[in-house]
This record gives sequence, structure tokens and C-alpha cells, in this order.
Amino acid sequence: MEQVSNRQMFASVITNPQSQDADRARVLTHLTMVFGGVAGLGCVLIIILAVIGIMPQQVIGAAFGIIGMVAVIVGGTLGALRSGRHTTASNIFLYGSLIYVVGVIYLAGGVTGPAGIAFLFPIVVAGLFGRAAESPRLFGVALVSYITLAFAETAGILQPQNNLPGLPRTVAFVIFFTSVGGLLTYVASLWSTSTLRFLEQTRVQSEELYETNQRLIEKNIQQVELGSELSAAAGELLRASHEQASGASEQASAVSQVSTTIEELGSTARQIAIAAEQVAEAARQTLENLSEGQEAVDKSIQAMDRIRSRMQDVSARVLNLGERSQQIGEIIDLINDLSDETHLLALNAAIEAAGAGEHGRRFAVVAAEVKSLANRALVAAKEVKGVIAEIQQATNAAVLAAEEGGKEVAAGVELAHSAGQVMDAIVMVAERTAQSSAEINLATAQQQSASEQVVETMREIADVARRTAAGARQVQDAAQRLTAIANRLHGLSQEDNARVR
Amino acid sequence: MLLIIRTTRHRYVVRREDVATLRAIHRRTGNGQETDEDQSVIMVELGALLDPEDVSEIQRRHALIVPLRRRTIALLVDAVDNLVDHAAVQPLPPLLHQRLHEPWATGVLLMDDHPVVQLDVRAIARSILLRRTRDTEQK
Repeated sequence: MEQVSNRQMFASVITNPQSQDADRARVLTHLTMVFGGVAGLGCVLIIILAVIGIMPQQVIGAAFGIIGMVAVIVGGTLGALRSGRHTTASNIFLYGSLIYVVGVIYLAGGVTGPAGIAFLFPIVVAGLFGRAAESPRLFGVALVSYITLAFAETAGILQPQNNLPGLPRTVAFVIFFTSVGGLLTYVASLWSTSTLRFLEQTRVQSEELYETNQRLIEKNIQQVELGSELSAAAGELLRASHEQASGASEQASAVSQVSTTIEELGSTARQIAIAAEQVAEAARQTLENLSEGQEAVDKSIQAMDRIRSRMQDVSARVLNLGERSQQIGEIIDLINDLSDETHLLALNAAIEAAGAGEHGRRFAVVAAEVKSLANRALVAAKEVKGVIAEIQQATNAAVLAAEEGGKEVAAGVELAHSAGQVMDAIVMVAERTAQSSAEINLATAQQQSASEQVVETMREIADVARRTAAGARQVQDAAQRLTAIANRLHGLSQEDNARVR
Repeated sequence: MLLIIRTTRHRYVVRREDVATLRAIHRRTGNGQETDEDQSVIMVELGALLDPEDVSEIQRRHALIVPLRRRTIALLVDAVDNLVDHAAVQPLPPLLHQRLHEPWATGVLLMDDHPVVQLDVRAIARSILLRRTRDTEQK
């Protein structure tokens, strides 16, 4: 900490009524020591002068008395300062010095003597300490003491010590004047220093005040500009908050619609999941039925193959039968020819027998029998031929039917193979359908879960949007209040600028 | 005694004494008149001769052999069936018989309530031979 001089400290204490007690104690201590030193030194000088014979011997007792009084004042003041009672210390010093002055006046020739000026010392010191209220009291006490002393001298109660001869009297006056004048000069110098310092501080404070006012003006100008900007920003904030409130309301409405749509989507997803489950069940049933149908198709294909083989066998047998029938027909034709020949022979025999007359009658009978047999053979052959023709027709029809049957069987086998392939394809499609339906079921379950999450999120968003709308309305109110504040600030700043200028 | 002969569409009767013998013949060609391996035999379809629409498709033919002086005529029919009594034939009335262009029909026989014409195969054979001779001469 910078060590300041006593002069500066004393000036600071004088010019600063709010100075610290420690500073005041320090100044008072210094002043007390100066007072004690000057008063003691003057008394010691008088005692020395009395010892060497310049001053009369009777002043030695008065000088020791004054030294004792000064010692009491200095000791009391320092003791009170040491104990922290600064007001008591200053009172001891002030009133003690007043008593000292009264004593000096008494020793220096009474109220009409030259020491009356010494009353100024405590009064001025009291003023220097900033205790202006103490100065009138000190002056009152000094006046009372002066009047009392004057009354006592007038009434003959006291006889002031004014009986020193010429040189000692002059030396005493010089010493008294020097000590009192030195003290007053010291105090006056302190006063002057404090006054200069006060003026300097006043000038510095004025400049600081001027600079502060300039900065305040600039700040006011900035405040005016900021107020305008604040007003504009508040307007924009008001519009933005209005738009935000409107947007938040629209957002809440849109979110509500989206939430409704998502809920419908979730419901649709549940329906799709149910339908997919039904499709999967149908696909499983289809697979089971297709498995059975595939076995049936395989069996039918095997049966068709056996039928085709049998049909080919039957066809071969029927063809063989047809050939045999053809052979039988040929035989029958031969029999028919033979019968016809026999018939003609019988007729010829009958003709010859008729030509032979009675001789041929018996031969004619035989011929008639032969012809009858031939006719019967012809009839039988014709019947057999008819049967053979029917058989041949039937065999031909059977062959044709067998061929058609074989073709139909082949076509059936082909169709069965095609049906098997189609059923294989259907099985694949059914498996894909089952797999796809399972995937759809899983996807719809995920979609349903996602929809529920989205619905929940949408509800939270709607809540946030409603809160945003409420916040926007609050912001709108705040913006309106901010606009009003900006207008008021703008007006106050203009008033301040006008007042400052 | 009479022989009943059958063509495809008709039945006729002929006297058995007009027919020398009966033969069975397999027809090789479809024309109306054929010649047997024996060049002296002239074969004629009797049904087509009497009724142009009476054409038979049967390959096995019965031939009524009618021998003339120089040639033999074989009248081919589908079948020769039976003998019937000669007395049942009703001869044609003279007015109708005189007005025939060819004297091939000599009477009518009722068989199963149907009239069956009795043919004179010898007259038919002579007409055939005469026509053949005339055609040959015209060529």
C-alpha cells in the first residue's frame, strides 16, 4: 500500500467527511504530537531561559504546570485513540487545548494580554476536523471562559501573571507567539493544502462528471437507437410470435389430422394383418389340399399310364380279334361260296332231275334236300357273316374307340402332367403366398407398432404445438410489452438528451 | 317248274326248261356285258337290261346259262333262289302280249301278294345275240 504523507492524509481527512476513523486517528495523533512538541518545546525553552537568568525563576513552576497540562492532554488524547474512542480523543484534544489556551492566557497577562488569539487554535482545528458543529460550542466555551476569566480579573478573584519585566516579557511573548503562530501556520498550511486538494479534486470530479455526462449522452443516443431497434425488433417479434402462434395452431390441427390419419392407418394395418393371417391360413390349407391333390394327380398319372398300357393291349387284342374276324369272314365267304355252289348244284340237279322225268324224281328229292341244306348253310353263313360283320364293325369301333381312348388317355396323361406342373406352380405360388402373407403380417405388425409410436409422437407433437402456441401468445404479449417499453425508453432517452444538451 | 331270280330291285320267274344250267361267276369288271373265259359265252346283267336303274354291286353272280345255236348267253342275277310251281303263273293277255316291243314277259305270278313277272330268257338271249350281231355288223 502506498504510504501517503501526513499532509496529504490531513488534507484528505479535511476534504473528505466520509474519511476513515483510522485516518482521522492518525491525523489527530500527528496533530497532538505537534501540539505537544511545540507547547512542550516552548515551556522547555522558558525553563532554560529562566535557568540562565533571562527569565525570572517564578516562570519555571508555571512552565512545568503547562508541561504537565500538555502532557495530560497529549496522554489523554493518545490514550483515547489507542482505545478506539476517536470522538472522545478529539474532544479531549479540542477542549484540553482550550483549557491550555485559558491557562496560557492566564499566565500571559489575562484577557487583555496578547494570548487571546490562542482561542482560535481549537476552534480552527475543530473546523479542520470537519466537526463544524463543534466549533460554535468551542467558541461558546471559549467565550464563556474568556468572559469568566475577564469577570474574575475584574472582580479581583484572579490576578493574571503579568508581572514579568521588559526582556523576559518580550521573550515570553515571542515564544508564545511563535508557538501559537507556528501551530496556526501549520494548521493554515494544512487548510490551504486541503483547499487546493479539494479544488483539484473538484476539478477532476468535474471533468469526470463531464466525461460521465458525455458517455451518458452517447449511451442515451445509443439507447435511443437501441430503443428504435428494440421497437422494430419487438414489432418483428410480435409479428413472428403472431405467425408462430398461428403456425402452432395450424401445426396442432395438422398434427391432429395426421394423428387421426395414422390411427386410421393403424386400424387399416390391423385389418391387413387379419386379412394376411386369413390369407396365410388359406395358403396353408391350399398347400395341404394341393399336397393331397398332387398325390391324386400322381396316382391319376400312374393310373392313366396303366390305362394307356391296357388300352394299347386291348387295342392290340381287338385288332387281333378283328383280323381273326376277317379270317372268319373269309372262311364264311368260302362257306358261303360253297353253299352257293351247292345251292346252284342242287338247283342244277333239280333241273336235271326234272329233265329226267320219273327217273329223276328221287334224285330231285335228294337235290331238294341238298339245296335245302345249301340254303340253310347259306342262311347260317349269312347270319354268321352278319354276326361277323357286326363283330368286325364292333371291333373296328372298339379299335377306333381304343385308339381314341389311347389318344384321350395320352391327352389325359398330358393334362395330368400339365395339372401336376400347374399344381407344382400353384404350390410354389401358395408357398410364396404363405411366405408373403407372413412377411405382410410381420410388416403390418411393425407398421402397427410404428403407427402407435407415431400416434404417440404426434400426440406429444400436438401437445408441444399447443404449448408452443401458448408460448407464442405469451411471447406476443411480451413483445407488446417490449414495444411499449421500447417506446417509453425512446421517449425517456430523447428527454434525457434534450435535458443534457 | 319255275326258278325265282332276284336282282337288286326286282324278282322275276323263269321257266326252268329255258335254262340249261346255273353257274356261279365272280365279276371282275363293272360293265353290263362281259365275256367269259370261254369266248362263246356272252354274259349280260339281266337287272340292268330290264331296268337301267337296277344295278347290282354284288361281285358274286349267279348266271342263267341259255345256250343258243352258235353262242351261249349267261344272264347274270344276284341269286337264283327256288323253284315254284308252274301252274300258278298267269299268262299275259293277248292284247298286252301283242303290243310288247320285245316278247320277253310271258306271264305274272303272285308271290306274297306281289306280282312277279315271268321272263322268257330264251327270247331275251336271242334278242341279245341279235343286237350283238347287229352292232357288230354296224361297226
